[in-house]
Amino acid sequence: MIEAARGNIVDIVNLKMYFPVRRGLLKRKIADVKALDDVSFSIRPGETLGLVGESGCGKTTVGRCIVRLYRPTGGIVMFEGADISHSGESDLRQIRRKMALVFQDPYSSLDPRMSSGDIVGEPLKIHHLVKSKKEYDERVAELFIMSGLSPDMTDRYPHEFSGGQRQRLSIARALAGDPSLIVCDEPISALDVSMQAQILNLLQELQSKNDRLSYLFISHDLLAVQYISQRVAVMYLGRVVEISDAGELYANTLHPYSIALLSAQPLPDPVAEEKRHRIILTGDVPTPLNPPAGCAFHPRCPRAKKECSESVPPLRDAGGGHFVACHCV
Amino acid sequence: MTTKTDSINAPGLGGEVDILEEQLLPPVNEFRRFVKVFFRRKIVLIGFIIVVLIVAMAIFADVIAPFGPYEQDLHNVLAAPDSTHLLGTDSLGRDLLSRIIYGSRVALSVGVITVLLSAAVGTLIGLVAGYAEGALQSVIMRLTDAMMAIPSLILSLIVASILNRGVLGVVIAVAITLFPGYIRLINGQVLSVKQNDYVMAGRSMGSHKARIMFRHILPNCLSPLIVQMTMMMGVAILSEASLSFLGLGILPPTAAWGGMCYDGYKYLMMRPLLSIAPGLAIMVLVFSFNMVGDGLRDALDPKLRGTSSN
Repeated sequence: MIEAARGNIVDIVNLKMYFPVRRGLLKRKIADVKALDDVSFSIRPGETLGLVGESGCGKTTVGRCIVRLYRPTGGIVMFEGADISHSGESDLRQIRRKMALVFQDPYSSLDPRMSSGDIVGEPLKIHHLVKSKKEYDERVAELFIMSGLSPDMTDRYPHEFSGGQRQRLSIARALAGDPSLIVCDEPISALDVSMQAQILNLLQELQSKNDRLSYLFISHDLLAVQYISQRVAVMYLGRVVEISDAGELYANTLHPYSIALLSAQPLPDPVAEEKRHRIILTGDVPTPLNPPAGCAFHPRCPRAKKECSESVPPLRDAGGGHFVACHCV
Repeated sequence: MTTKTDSINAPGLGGEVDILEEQLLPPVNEFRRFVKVFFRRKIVLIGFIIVVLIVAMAIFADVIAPFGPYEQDLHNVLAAPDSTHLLGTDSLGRDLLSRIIYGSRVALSVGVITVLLSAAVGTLIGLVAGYAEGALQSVIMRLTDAMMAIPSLILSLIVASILNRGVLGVVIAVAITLFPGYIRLINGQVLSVKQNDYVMAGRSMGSHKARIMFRHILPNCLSPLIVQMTMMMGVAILSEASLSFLGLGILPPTAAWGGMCYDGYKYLMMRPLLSIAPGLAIMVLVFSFNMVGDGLRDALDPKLRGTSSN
């Protein structure tokens, strides 16, 4: 199902993440929230994988499992060929230099009591990447420039920066360890549109200078994902329902959920927008506490058949590396 | 220092990155805003001035006090206030005013040491409890609740009667009643600060737990901690005075306000000032610390961070 190609930055295989729900005095486990169920995909060096889906579908959980902020309940997370799904904190510390997170909220992701220079330079100190104060200062200045900030600003505090600049600080911090993977968890959703474009361009530019830098770009903004990603995965209720090259996925959408999701995206072209036919799904997203049997999407799917409520459709190749999990395709 | 032109021409950039495409937000002088909010209320200003005056009085007691604290004038015991002894003398002929001035040293030093000790211990335990969560947190917090259920004066009395009488004994006896408050305060703060993404960012960068606790979490808990410490100065001074009044505090003949109240109350009908004056000193100092704490709480309100001073 998933090619175990050599040299991938990330391979996740049948990843499961269940969060226990505990109640009562003895904190007895009464149920599991199945945030991720059998998620598999790979990220190749220098690639941007877009991850889209509505709120609560598990996008963020995937990102946090990959950087091992969560210990997955089942399945395997491979980073640069090494299985890190059950590594302890001390082993992970070595690997964490090579992966970084950029968060959605530019206000809570930077420590308000640290100067921006200290924030950006923190990974250098943690991983002892510089030998002298001079080298440290030079490296921090370099990171500021790379992220489009003036190095004169290193002694300013986060509250003196605007949202877009704070997101640049986040990116500068992410770059400090010279990572091979940056998990961008909705990095542009909290910014206004002009800032969004600048941050997207910055991310692309950084990648063009370092051909091993890959991104997992988590977003619900379909246009941004189309713009920045080489491949796109669509998630619904803890599962990947479709994954393919970005152009192919947008041009030849197969999964009924992806079709509905894409039809909800307003088009910038007024003529095309006029013709846009919006598929409005009925019902609500089921709770991951008790997902429907079979295909999780079947209660809302316009094309559901009998077998959809009976067995979970596997992710299979519909030709040309376009994987889709649907009985009807 | 790299200039902006250098930055744009930096190697490998191709000059595409717009540096400073937007200006920095107008700098907010945090300190000036703090001062302005702090002194906005007159009562806080008065409290602050009184605290400063009493601290100065303690430091320069040798210069200010007309007599030594132990200097006896046995021909002149229980004297009424006059031009030599502005507040009169006590039963051993010691100048009351001088003893009150020297007594500020005991009040302040016991207050400061107690507050520092209880804050250090309580903060450390609270930090660990809040960061660890789970079973460790439950155990620590239930024990803290149990500690707080014991009436503080009774607890102080028990501890003070076990320990040696003296500054250290009093400090420990009072600190033991104060530190559970810090555990609870810091535990709650840590739980809320932990929710911030920068704590998760720290973990994802591979920071050690200690680094996250002391570099990221603790500095962001400081404001309520400072307020609590100021408020607790008053409580500590009052507790020390209570212990001294009950005879389990600072040993006589050292001038301590609580002990002086006790010595004086035997002559309450004849020379009421002997008890009232040190009592008033305690009241004024405790009140002033509470007002300063109140002002700090307003001025350190995180909702005001980054706002202009108006």
